[in-house]
Amino acid sequence: MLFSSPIFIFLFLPIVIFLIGVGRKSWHNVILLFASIFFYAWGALSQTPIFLFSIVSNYCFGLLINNADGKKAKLYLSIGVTVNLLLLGYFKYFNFLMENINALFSATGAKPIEYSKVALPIGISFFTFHAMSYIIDVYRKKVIVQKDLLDLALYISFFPQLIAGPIVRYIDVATQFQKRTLSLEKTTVGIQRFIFGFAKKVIVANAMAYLADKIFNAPIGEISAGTAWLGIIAYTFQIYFDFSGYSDMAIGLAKIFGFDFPENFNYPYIAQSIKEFWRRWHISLSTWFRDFLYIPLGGSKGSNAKTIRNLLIVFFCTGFWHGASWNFIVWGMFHGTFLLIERIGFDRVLSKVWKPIRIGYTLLVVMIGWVFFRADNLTAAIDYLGKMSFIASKGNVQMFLVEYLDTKTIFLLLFATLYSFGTFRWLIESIKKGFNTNENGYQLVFYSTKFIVSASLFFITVLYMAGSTYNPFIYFRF
Amino acid sequence: MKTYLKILNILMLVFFFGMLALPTANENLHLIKENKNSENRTKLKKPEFNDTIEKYIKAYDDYYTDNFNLRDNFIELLNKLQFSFFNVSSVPDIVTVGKDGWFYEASCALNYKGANHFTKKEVEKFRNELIKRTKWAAKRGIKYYLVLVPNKMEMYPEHLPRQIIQTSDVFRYDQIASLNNDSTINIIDVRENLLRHKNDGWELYQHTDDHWNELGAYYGYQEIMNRVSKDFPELKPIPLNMLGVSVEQRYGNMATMLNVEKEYPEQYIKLTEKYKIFGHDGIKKKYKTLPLISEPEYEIVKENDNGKKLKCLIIRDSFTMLMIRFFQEQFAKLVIIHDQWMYRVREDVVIKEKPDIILNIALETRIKNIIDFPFTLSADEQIEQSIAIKAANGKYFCAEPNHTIVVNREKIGSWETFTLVKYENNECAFLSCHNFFLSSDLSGKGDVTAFSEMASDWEKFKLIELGDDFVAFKAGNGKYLSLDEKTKNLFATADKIGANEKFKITVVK
Repeated sequence: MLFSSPIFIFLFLPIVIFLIGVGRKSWHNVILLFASIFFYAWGALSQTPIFLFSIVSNYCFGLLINNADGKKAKLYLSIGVTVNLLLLGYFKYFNFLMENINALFSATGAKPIEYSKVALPIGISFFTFHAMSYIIDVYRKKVIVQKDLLDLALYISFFPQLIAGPIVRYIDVATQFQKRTLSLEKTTVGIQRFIFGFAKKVIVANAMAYLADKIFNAPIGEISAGTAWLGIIAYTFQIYFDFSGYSDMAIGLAKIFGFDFPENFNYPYIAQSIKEFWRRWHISLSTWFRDFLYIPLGGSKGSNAKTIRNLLIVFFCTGFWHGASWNFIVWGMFHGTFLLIERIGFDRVLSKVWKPIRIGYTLLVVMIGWVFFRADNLTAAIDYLGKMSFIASKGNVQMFLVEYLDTKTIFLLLFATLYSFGTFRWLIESIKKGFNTNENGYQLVFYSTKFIVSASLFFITVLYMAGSTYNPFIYFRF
Repeated sequence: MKTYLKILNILMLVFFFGMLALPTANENLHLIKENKNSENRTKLKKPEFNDTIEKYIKAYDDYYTDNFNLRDNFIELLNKLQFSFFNVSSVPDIVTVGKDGWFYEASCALNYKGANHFTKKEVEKFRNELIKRTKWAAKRGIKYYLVLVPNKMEMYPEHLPRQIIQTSDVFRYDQIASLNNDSTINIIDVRENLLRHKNDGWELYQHTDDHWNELGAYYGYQEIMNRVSKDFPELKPIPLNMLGVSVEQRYGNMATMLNVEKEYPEQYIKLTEKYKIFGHDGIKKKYKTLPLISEPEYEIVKENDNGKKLKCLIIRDSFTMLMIRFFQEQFAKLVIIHDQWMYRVREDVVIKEKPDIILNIALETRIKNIIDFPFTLSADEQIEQSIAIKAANGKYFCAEPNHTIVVNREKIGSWETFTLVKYENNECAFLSCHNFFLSSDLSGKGDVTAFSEMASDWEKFKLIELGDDFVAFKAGNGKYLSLDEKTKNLFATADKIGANEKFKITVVK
């Protein structure tokens, strides 16, 4: 069930909010847990046992680690992490592994191995990382073990963050299962956050996806260099507005139910280096890898060679985590390489140049990286980059830039650009600076405007969501 | 102030929850009147639980997405908003918003741009398909015509949005229309006649619909009858002065899809007969219908008892509908089949109806279906086959990418596979996998290469059967195709058939 689907918006969500509204506070966790498991089962009923197994096994590992000392605790942790990684490895990477083994076999003339494809359980990348953060932090004694299975189950399965993150670490929400505030103000903030995320996804990301898909799906020979650039610009916005939109919806929903989730995005496209980009993009993932992989590997404390090794391992894993394909590995390593280049001295060069150049450099690297992320395979990515570079043969160009730039697309591209570069935030901050924010008049205008904008935006986004299901048939009864 | 903020927060909560609950509440309370379905399709029905839970969930999800209360109201509002703010279509893959209140079918853009023009191989395939149909019909005493109808973009490009630009100088319409140069093919290109009358004072296509109007249809019909009358002199088109022209307000399908039909009503150009109508509904044979086409639309039969003799079978799409009233006055019997845009000539229909004329009337946008759904003939009538050719040295012909032909291959792969195209009088041509015809240099040394994109005299060979599965090929210069054992190349230089002039053809499946 997607947050932007009619069944979620018009059935699931109002029912859950209604139950929370009328239900006693002591029932809230149970209501949310059942709602979350229903949410998961609705999208992947046959995979629900795997999901439940993950919850129960991690609950047990938590208890075992907590009740044991020293080496035994470490052993339980190792088993726990291994079980989670095996789960992830088997369901997410088995097919990829077999495809590569068979490609190797066929290259050497050997008979390929026959195997049945494994279906990927929805959200497995997220719930295994949630669970691992929990057992690792229990081992590190950073959190108190959760003895209530229902609460731990709610942590792992809580539907706002279940299928698209953010990766909320147990340490960040541990206390909120028993003590959390559910106020009118907080709910309003949550609603408005949800609406903004919903609009980002449905209005902007979907329109950008339509544009990017059209261009990326066209034969490479038929698109002009300008069109190729428009395609990657559209995808750059699509992935940001889609992913950050989902995160906003998750954070907003969590707030509606009284939880406070950490932020996941912070205007990544204004980053002035790749290092900074990863502090602003998918923050929950990068901090997870930092705390649970990079630092345990030794971080940057050892020799330069070790730091380089650690960084490359982390970015290999980051890429691979995003999907079982060489594209994602190349994407991860591409980012890792630029991080290294910056680390060995390029950051000093960067710091001396004009800020727009720093942002431009970062954006260019990020956008080239997105080509690997979006293209169907590595060959397609290289062909696409060739087209972007203006050096590829012109071929039989049929799709020119002008064809895609209707008024709506221009408007959305402009909006996405202004939003991504933090223009609206800057505008709001500038207005705030000019007024006494505690004044009644200011508050009246500010909150009234926010209400009108949120309400209108929600209404329009609902229209867009309905519009996305519009499928008229040209065949008339003639 | 605190109270005001509290009120705002309550309002936000009420509005948010109200919007979330609106479809369910309205379903039960009927506060807002639901719009009628404007999608011109049947919506998904509520699933019944008769399979796995997982399948039921998926089916229910799809059903809900298609049927949630007020969905059509929301869509209409969005369509209107998008149109008025951005002047764009909410279904850009279906409707293109043009200038001056003109709307176009979006899928026509590829044809208009020339972006989807046919490859040489496809044109050849088209030609062969039409020859196949024409010959098959001729064997049964029937005259077969393909009627090409231009789409609206082609006819009225002046109202297209600036985004739609022509990117090629080769267009499907022209490619197919040019096949008319082949004397065995009968293509009726109605575009010329429409263009001739485009500026006569009345528009020929509708502004807000993807179809022509009744006057456009008349000029289409006029051109068809002008051409058919060359073969059937007794048929003459009804003159335009026998028809009266008037204007009526209607709603076009393109504007309706964007829910702006009321804002853009169609001034529909209508014709009225000034003559006595003899054509009337006839008895249907009730041929098996196709999934998307309802029974009344699949087969239309018109009869005319006013001394007419000829029978006509029309394979149609929607553009034919406005011409039926004219055709029905010309034929004793008119059978019109909507083949779900596949434009096939169904053998069973032809055998049962025994028409004198077959009109395959197709909008250019969907013309490729003619080759995508080819006419299937019995094996002995096939004129196109995949084959490999073995020479006296026991090796197969191979078309190298550099256009040379070598006879040195042990096995049949793609380079060793040719399309054998058969013509009349045992003439044939060989199309390589690289889409070039085998060609003998008639003016020079007679060496055989594969570089020609068209099958002309230099590419045609006479196929001579020698018995024991051996064949020989005589080139246009009167010489036989011969294997040069040293170079393993082919030459059209032999005067007699010896061992090196004998070949064996293997059909490749």
